[in-house]
Amino acid sequence: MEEVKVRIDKKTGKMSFDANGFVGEGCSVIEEIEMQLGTVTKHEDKDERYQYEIPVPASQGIMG
Amino acid sequence: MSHKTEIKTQLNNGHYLKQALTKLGFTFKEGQNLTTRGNYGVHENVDILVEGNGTQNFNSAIGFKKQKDGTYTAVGDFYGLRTQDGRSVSANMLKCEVTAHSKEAELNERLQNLGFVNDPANRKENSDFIEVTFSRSNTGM
Repeated sequence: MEEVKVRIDKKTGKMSFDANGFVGEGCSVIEEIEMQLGTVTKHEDKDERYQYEIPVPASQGIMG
Repeated sequence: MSHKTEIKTQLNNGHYLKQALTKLGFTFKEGQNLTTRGNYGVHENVDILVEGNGTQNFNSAIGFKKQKDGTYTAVGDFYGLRTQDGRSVSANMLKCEVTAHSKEAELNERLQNLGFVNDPANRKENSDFIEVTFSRSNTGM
């Protein structure tokens, strides 16, 4: 059972989504709803979303 | 003495705006050649004319006008208007309430298209927010 809680702020009119503890981006249900509402029209996955470590090249010194 | 107030909203869909007005207990009519009158003669052409709220006749004082960019503006003379529970109706309060209820109406319709069911028992509302819970019987997160 998927459950989504939506809160609409009366002062700003903004909506926030909570799907089984997932808040905001990173949950397919929320993405599906945002696409349906038209608040998001395209998702682009980036490494950061999955918290992959991007290897940082080690500096190489020349030993003389 | 005139008390004209005009306030821009984010709303661009008359269907949900009308649902919100109905939910809030307002009576209204829509069409062409509608003009606010008000107690102090604020005459504004509007697309939706709010006539009252069930307990009080607004004397066609306020309405909603569609702008060129597609959004609606609330306009008219809000002086002396009261809600059903006796609070005064300000332009900002009307904007906030109508916007929130309009978004809820849109949410209900669009989430039903995705197979979600609204749970009215878990609906919460106060002066700051509306909280609605939907559920759907499949997985995929």
